[in-house]
Amino acid sequence: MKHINDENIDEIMFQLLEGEITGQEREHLLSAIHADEKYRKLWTAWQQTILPAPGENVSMDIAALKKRTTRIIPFNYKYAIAAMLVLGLGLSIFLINRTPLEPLVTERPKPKKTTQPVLQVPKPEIKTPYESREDSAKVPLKDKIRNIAVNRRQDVPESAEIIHYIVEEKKSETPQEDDKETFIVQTPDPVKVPVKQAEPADDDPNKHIIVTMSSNSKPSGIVIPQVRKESLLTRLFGQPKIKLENDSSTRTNKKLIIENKQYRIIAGF
Amino acid sequence: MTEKEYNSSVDTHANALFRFIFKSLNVREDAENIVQDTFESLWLNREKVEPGKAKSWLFTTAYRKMIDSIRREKKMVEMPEFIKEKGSEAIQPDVREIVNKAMEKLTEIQRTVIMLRDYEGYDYSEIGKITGLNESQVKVYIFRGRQTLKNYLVKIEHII
Repeated sequence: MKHINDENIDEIMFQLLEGEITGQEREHLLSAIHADEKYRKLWTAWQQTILPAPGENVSMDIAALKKRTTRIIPFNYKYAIAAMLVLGLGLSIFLINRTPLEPLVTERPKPKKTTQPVLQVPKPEIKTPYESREDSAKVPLKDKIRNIAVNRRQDVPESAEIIHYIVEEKKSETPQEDDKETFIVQTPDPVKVPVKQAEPADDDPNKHIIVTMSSNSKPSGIVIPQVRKESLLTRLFGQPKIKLENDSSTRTNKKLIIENKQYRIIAGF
Repeated sequence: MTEKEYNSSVDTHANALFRFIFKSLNVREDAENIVQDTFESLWLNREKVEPGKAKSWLFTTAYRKMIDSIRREKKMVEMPEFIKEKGSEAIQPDVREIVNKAMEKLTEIQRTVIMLRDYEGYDYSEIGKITGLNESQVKVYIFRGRQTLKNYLVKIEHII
């Protein structure tokens, strides 16, 4: 336990001030200091040597000290030019070679099952004039092929000669065995119907004939007519007429006109 | 140290560093220049400085720059007039001014170690790293500085 005297008073007070003496010894020394007026004044002076907290306005503008790094991305103009060329070439090829759109085909909803009469249209048989093997053997091969070709040509009606059939629903006067209804097609000009030749001889072609209606393997849905669409370059520059006219508003007093049926391009320089 | 950590160090330590330098030099412009130089050095050496040791690094660098500045200009440092704080009852305003005057009596190193001790709360070891002294030297400088202040305050008290 330390004791205060005039020789060690500064050292003890410094240690008390710096917190080097703690606990019971600290309390003992402080009580001894306060007991003596001279030591008490010295202790007050020592306490005042601790610097007071500075004012808040002792500060500076710290915003200028902060850093904000900017990332610079190197830009190589050679790559940019190469990219532009590739893109331009690709775009040109795309615009020039753009194919027209495929016709839009939509599925027709499947018909519900019904009890209505079923249209029965039997497929006609294409018969050559030489029905039997015996007749066929007698005819030369050239004539045989020619006859087949002639028959085929007659079978397929041209699109310009589409016959408008009048289809009427007729019930057979004689009831069928399987109780089915048959649609019979009437034609105003039975001569043009190629199926007529394939009909049996005992059937009267002037009354009623049975025909088949077939298409060239087109889908059974609704077919939107295909519209030929021209490319942009064709529309802009197809069949152009180039003129050079005077124009005082341009620098060269000339203007270039490129026009076709759809567009007119005027360029003044 | 990343950019974010550097900016965080600016927010945390810039004002304390400025206060320390300003109260040593008593010239605002010089103090601001030293603080700016110090943080510029921190930015340039941010790869080497760990974020946890930024404060010690800043005060060490700023102290050395301050010493260099004082030696270069060879001018005496005058103590600043501290702003009177309202609500601070620990020390009377007149005593605060007397203490500030008493600081002028101290040597440069005494003033520095006492400010680092009182303002920043550094222990002897940290003050030693900043000032390049060992702990015993720091303790002796602080003791002698406080003793000088005490003697000045006692004399003033006697006069008053």
